[in-house]
Amino acid sequence: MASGAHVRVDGVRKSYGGVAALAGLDLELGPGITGLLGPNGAGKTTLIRILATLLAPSVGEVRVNGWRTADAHDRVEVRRRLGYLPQDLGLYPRFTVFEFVDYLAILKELDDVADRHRRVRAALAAVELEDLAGRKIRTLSGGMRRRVGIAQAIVADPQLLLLDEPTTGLDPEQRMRFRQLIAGIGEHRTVVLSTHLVEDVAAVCTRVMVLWQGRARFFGTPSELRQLADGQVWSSPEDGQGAFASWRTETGAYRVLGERPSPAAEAVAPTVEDGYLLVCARSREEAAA
Amino acid sequence: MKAVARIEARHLARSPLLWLGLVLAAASVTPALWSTWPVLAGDDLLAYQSSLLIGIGALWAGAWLALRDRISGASDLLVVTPTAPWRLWWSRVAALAAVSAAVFTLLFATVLVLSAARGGRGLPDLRLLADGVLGVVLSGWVGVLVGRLSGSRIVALLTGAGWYLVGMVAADFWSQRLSPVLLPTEPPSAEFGLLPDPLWPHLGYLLGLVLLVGVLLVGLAARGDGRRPLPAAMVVAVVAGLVLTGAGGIRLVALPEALVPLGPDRVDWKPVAVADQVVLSDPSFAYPEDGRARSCAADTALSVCVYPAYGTGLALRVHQTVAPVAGLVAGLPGTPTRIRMVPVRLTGCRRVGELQIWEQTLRDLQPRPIVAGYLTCALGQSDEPARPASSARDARDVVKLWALVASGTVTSQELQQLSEQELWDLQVGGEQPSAAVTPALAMAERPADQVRAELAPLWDRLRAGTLPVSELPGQRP
Repeated sequence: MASGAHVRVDGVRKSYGGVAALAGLDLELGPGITGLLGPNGAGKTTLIRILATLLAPSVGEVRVNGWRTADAHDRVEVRRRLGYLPQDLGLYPRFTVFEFVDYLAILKELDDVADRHRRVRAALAAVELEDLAGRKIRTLSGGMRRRVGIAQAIVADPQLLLLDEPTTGLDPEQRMRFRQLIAGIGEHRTVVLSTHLVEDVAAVCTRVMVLWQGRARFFGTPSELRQLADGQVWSSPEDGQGAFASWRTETGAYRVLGERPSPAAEAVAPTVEDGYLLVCARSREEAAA
Repeated sequence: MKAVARIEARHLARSPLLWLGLVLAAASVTPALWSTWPVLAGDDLLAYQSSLLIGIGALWAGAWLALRDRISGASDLLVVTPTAPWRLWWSRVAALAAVSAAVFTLLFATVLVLSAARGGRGLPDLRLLADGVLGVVLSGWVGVLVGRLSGSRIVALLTGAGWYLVGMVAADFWSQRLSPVLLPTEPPSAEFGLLPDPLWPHLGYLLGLVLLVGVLLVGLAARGDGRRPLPAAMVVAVVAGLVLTGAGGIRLVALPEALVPLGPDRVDWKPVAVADQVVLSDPSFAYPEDGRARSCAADTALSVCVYPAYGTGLALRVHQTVAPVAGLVAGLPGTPTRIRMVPVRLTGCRRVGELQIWEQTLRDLQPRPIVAGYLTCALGQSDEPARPASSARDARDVVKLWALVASGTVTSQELQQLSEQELWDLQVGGEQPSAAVTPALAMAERPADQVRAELAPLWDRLRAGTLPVSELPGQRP
């Protein structure tokens, strides 16, 4: 079985009209699932698109298995090993589900018809669309279309799988199955998952990167991200004035992220989301300072 | 990439835009197909000319194909595949070409089968099929080009409309020959078939354009990708395209009012070099005897001869149409005893005893122009200079209308309801042709044999135009 891709990002910057979407990023990825977290505009999609060879960095270099994405010949080699699900997924509404995935599989150089059709069926089965293979895409719901997108991304068994907001529109059961699918792929492949859903990252990712204003503010395991919030999360009868975040929970107590809000507050176990919120809050403070 | 082409072809074959073009083309062909005498060597032209409409459908289908990625938002999915964009686009435009060509071929074959089923004979010109195929392929590829460059459906729709105008509105200009479909021009045109055949240069011209547009499409797809599409093949295609387009275009422009040859039975086609100006301006011009009108129907009073491609069926039909009128004036001095099909746009007595009628007029199966032409000839009005506007009635017009009624070509009631324009179409002259109706109806009240007997001694004066209406049979003093 082929292994996952080795991705190396060196000093990548990307600017749009003077606004930096990525402000100097270094990164090295191997097999496993890397979650990208960050608020809107943090640079997650820009990074994914650069890794997908859709965008060229303004500065810096990206290599996949040693191939430089800036080089036309190397770029083709990268694309041969790439699966990509864009955030704004576009499909051909008049195509059937099978036709569309088959069409992309042809472009991914799966030339043997029998093998290609077997792979298409397997990809559709993996996203539980095999029964809808003959349905026109225009008749599918948003969640089903998203699954078609996932199927086309995995059909050629890519070494590097880039997924931008893959679980948007999926119901909880489908999200659970998606996690199972990605977890299986991530055992041997390199997967980069951009999402707003921290629980997805916590559930399947082996590494997580938090981006904020184009910079990596954290890179480590989900456990390490969670541990950042150790001693910073409280259950308090009072609202946490001056805390990073504070909200009322179903018990009536406040969950406070930051300094202990009152002597009556009790420390509680942090989650990955707490760690993420803490990183964002500190980044915001640093920027303000 | 054949697999991509197959998938695209499957979808294009279901494209409503392409089918719209086919339906419009079929609608444009059907009335003409049913209202004219069937002949394979003429109906092929009918089918060919409809390729303009199929081409517009192909143009729109091509534009929609080009816009699909952008509109659906699927471009990113395609870009990140290892397939070179030019290969993808080549597969797509090849599929478009194959389907457009198949649609036109389907129409062309259907028209010929229907024509044959109605008794049509002769040899179709397969160059028209090739020219039509190139025309629709070019149209489709131009649509792809417009879609890719403009990114707008509205621009694509307008381009389709413009494409139609290039073909139709410009029909009276030499530039029409540079459009995707050659159309015969309306008068004052040259006569079909008498002038140099424009089809070969047009085929070369279209092939050259197809090559050039194909290179443009492939080049456009390769732009920014870094992978060049077969440089040697591209250079060959560009050179061949420029040479063919240039040579064909120059030849087409240089042709003197060249049109598509419409003459049937091209196997024994012997063109006669006659300039159209002569046909139109010289009243003494007579189409020479070329021995081509060999399928005849005859009785003692009249023979009708048409080209062999029509068989004797059309000759019999024309004979049956004219015979009742011919019977009324048979034997009188100057009446034609022969009707001959000619390839020039004239209806007239240019040779003694012979009425020459343009092939298309005979094919149209409209009896009135043929009968009116016969009577005009018999009454000596053929090729007279136009009469000055006058309210004076010409006795010959009265006799012409009488003969139409007496022969049953027109009923008395119909004659009274004919408009001035319809009377002019029957070659009844003067400022107010309806003035001839009342005396004609008065003549028609009398038995035809009696009128004929009374007209016989007056015939020479009548033909000379010196007989007053008051002296005609049945007129009150």
